[in-house]
Amino acid sequence: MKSKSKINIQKYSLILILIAMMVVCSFLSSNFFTAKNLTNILKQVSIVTICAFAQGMIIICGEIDLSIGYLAGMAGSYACIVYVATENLVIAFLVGILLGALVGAINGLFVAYFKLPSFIVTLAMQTVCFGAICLYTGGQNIYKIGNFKIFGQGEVFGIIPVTVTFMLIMLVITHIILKYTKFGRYLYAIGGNSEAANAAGIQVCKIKWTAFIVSGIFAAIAGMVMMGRLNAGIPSEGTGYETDAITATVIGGTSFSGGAGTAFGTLLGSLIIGVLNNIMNLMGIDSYLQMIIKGAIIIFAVLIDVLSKTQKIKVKIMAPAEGGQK
Amino acid sequence: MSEIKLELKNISKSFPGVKALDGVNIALRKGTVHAVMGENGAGKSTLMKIINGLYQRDEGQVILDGKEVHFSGPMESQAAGIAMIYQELNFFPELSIAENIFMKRQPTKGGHVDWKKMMEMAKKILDENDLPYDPKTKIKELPIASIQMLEIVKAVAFKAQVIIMDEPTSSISNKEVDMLFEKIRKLREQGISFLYISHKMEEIFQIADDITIIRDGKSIISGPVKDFTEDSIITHMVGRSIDNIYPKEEVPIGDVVFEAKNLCSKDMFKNVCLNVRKGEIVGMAGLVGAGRSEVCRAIFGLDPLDSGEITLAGKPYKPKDVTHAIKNKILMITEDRKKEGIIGVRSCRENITLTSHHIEKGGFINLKKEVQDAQRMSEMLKVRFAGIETPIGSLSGGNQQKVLLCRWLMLESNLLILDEPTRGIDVGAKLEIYNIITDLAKKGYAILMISSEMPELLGMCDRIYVMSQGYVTGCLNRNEFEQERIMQLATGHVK
Amino acid sequence: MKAKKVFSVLMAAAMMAGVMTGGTATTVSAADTYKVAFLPTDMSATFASWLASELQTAFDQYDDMELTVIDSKNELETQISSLETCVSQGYDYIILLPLEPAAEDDLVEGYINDGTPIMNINLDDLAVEKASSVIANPYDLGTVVAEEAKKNLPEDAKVVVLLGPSGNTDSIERRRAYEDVLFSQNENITILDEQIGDWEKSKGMEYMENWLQVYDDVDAVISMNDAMAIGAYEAAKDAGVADDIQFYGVDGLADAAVAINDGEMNATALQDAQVMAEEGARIAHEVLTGENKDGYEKVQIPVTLITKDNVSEFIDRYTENGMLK
Repeated sequence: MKSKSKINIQKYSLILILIAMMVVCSFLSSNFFTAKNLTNILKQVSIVTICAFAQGMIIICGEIDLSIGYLAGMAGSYACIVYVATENLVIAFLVGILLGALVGAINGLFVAYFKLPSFIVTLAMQTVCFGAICLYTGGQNIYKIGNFKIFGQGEVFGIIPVTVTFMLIMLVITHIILKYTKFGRYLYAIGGNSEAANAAGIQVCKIKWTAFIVSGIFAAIAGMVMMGRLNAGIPSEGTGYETDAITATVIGGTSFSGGAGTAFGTLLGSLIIGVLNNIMNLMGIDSYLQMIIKGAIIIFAVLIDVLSKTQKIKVKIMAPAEGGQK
Repeated sequence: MSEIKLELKNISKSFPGVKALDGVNIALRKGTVHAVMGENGAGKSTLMKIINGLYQRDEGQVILDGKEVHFSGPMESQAAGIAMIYQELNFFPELSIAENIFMKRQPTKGGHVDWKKMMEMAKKILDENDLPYDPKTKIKELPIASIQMLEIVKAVAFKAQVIIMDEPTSSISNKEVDMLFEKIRKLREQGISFLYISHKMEEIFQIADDITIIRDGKSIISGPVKDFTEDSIITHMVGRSIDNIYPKEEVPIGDVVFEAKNLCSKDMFKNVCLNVRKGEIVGMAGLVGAGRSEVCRAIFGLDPLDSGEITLAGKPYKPKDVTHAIKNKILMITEDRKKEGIIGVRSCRENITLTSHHIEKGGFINLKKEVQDAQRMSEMLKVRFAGIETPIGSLSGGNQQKVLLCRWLMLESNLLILDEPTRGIDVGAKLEIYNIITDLAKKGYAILMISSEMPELLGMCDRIYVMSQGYVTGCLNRNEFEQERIMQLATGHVK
Repeated sequence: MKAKKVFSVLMAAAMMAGVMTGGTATTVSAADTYKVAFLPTDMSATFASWLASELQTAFDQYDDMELTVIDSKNELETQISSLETCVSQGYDYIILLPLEPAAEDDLVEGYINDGTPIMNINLDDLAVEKASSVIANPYDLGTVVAEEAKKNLPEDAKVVVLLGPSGNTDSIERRRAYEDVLFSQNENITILDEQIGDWEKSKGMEYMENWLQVYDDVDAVISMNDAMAIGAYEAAKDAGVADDIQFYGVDGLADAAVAINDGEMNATALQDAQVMAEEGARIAHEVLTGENKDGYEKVQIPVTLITKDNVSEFIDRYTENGMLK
């Protein structure tokens, strides 16, 4: 029973941290706990959260995807271009998704089949993505994207902002993938111990490849929502989302060494950062101080991650020892 | 009789649950080669680690040059003139010969390494020992035998009086063995003493002066090599009655389900033929490195197979990868549970259902069915844990093994391969695993079991194949089981 | 192992091929024309790529000069080595859009003394006497918009300020102009908050969303570039208060022109790449043909204020040169 209750505490600890933060914030600023402000926070975190869902799946299977931000900028901007040319939202959306899948497939090909380190491959893919969009736009942004903005502005049913709706849809999809599909199981297994996964008949290469494709599609969706929200196609705006996504997933309890993490955890991690950013702005805290506070929080989160893991390892070492020597 | 250089008196050592050494006595005479022999797991390696200070003895004395010594670690034993050369050589492949020789002992000048002097010294050592290498050569560029020679040379260069060698010839060619022996003989004449651990019978008679045989952590007999014959050595190594803990039951044995012919894999095994019948437990005996695991891994698609034919349930089967093997109902519990078995951070439930397809539909898992199946299976095999959500990494070895068995029992099987199924598992849990294996045979499973514990094979199997150096050297039926015979086949004495 | 090696060799070969084809495509020139190189900061940045295309157009007017553009990809290291390469390749003239003027002036001075004339375009002047320069001062850009804001804003205006990346010269100079022209001149003006938005539209949007929760009436958004101002506008529009707020940016490129035309932004200031390019080409030509006896000339380009009154002119221009599609 012991281990079970421990996991639950870990799971709830994030919610508790978030609630505690929100209570404190309510005291710090009377403008914090209002429907409008809370909606704003959701709106502000939604794009990076979609990226974080993608990043989370990749980290769970033991890799990393640094191309997410640039890919979002590239796929989102191309979708804008297609929309401007065709005036057809569906075609634009599909082109965006296709581009995401394509870049993901290339990442996955090199990582899974050629066994290159994902850090390097996806880092290189950053510049490829940026070049691929600038090649067409010549460094200019895409203005007057017309109705494309419905991907990121306005509300669904008059209350839920579109960006938040996208985030919720991606949350549900990620949750289902991770919890209810074989593919999700395999991601955990590969991240937990890829040799054992292989010896259990899991096609490690194929699953990793698929994971990168899924990540690419998620990034592309994030990119299109981003351009919709910005009401313009700005390739450079995706820059840095990959690292924000990593931060959110790690705070959300995704283990950097793979094999553990959930969609809800990622959402919570993202919300914690979002609330933090929001309250610092509401209070008018100095920009430079904000940077320090944010950095400190990230280190703190990783520290928790490492501490909880070393405790787990202790348990593991004890187990075989009781079986005697080899 | 020359003076005693190193004496071990009544050494004992326990690990939680296991008594690894129980009163071992060895007297190593100055300027001799003393062979230490025993089965896998007899306690040889533990003994060596106690001598060089890696482990601390519970009881007994280590006496060097007439004085009792206590080493808290290898650095201290080295300083006292004892050098250990491990089976898996430890060196830094990316560093040069000179750097490896002088690791931690670099000549310094004003606080930093004196590279020039180090190179000169290394060159001198290499020249004196007829090793034709530039001291700047990276270690990884040398053949294994030269590295081994280097280890010896290095030990001597740093005034080692006692050199312990653990299976030094396991990965080098015959010609290189001759060179190694020549070197050992030369050093022996200079008064250096060797403790020499080996399985290989012919080597012992070539090089050793004295022999000590260890079995079950006890030293059984010691004496000059001329007092022994191969047969007497084997008898002493295995000489014990089979404990009657094995729940072997006679099961009606059916048709051949698995038949392999002339399996070959470069450097690993050659022309291996074997078959397994329904309801039959077939053992594979042999020493470490005989190629048993490699054969099984090749069948399971984990390692390469160069040629050979396999017939599975009447149809030809060609190993491709593990997925393909599982599809053809060939299942395998691998030797290294931690590395290639469990997904430590995930729950027992997920570990059990990892490969079962009947709980999913179109890629989606039926969670309710999954929980039920995992529950039922773990109850059947009596896995002891807090619940199916417990991370498997936190279980004991025996329970981990049971969970892995659960995983495969969720699937249908034509052939179940168990590679060292009871390694690292305490006695009680071993018995439970044996019961499970017996049950499976009763249900008609065809089982191929590798084990380095001879009694386990003798107790559980219907037939035993014996392998030596990549070849199947014999196949014994239950009525022909005899430890000495197996040992002879395993040491490659009988072709 | 072997496959790995083969792979990396192939990669290297592919890269070499890419470099060679890419590098030689634009440099084929007749013997009697002057070879001029333009080293912009980053061709993926809007202004730099605009300036590059305007320079190309301006150089097309001269039969005896040929322009090659070599991107520095926003890396100082790349720019410096490109500079070295251009000199050793025997370019007759080099136009530099410097990434870090202070880090490059010694180098530039050395090359000029060795006989390669160099022009500094866009930013602050280099501390090199003999370098030609065509500059639009970032302080001036801030000044013209600040004056326009001063004219339009109420006496007791409450404003929020968006800054560029920390330490960025443009942002610092523009902000200094605002201080001198507007903030220090009027004690009644309140700066509600001031944050670093890293030039990004999304950051401008996010800050504005949060500000609107705290401050009931914001009279103006003072942004050091247009993207952040437009982002803030999007947020205000979403909150339904855009009409009550004035938006000021700097840069004056296509996005801002559209925003001003649509009544979203109030004013911006432009460093006119076309004028800069024309001046740059003229000076280069005069220096190369010996018409300019000093071997250098320094001009300061007047900055242009863009408001509702003159925006249509820029819309036309940007549509014509393809920046607005």
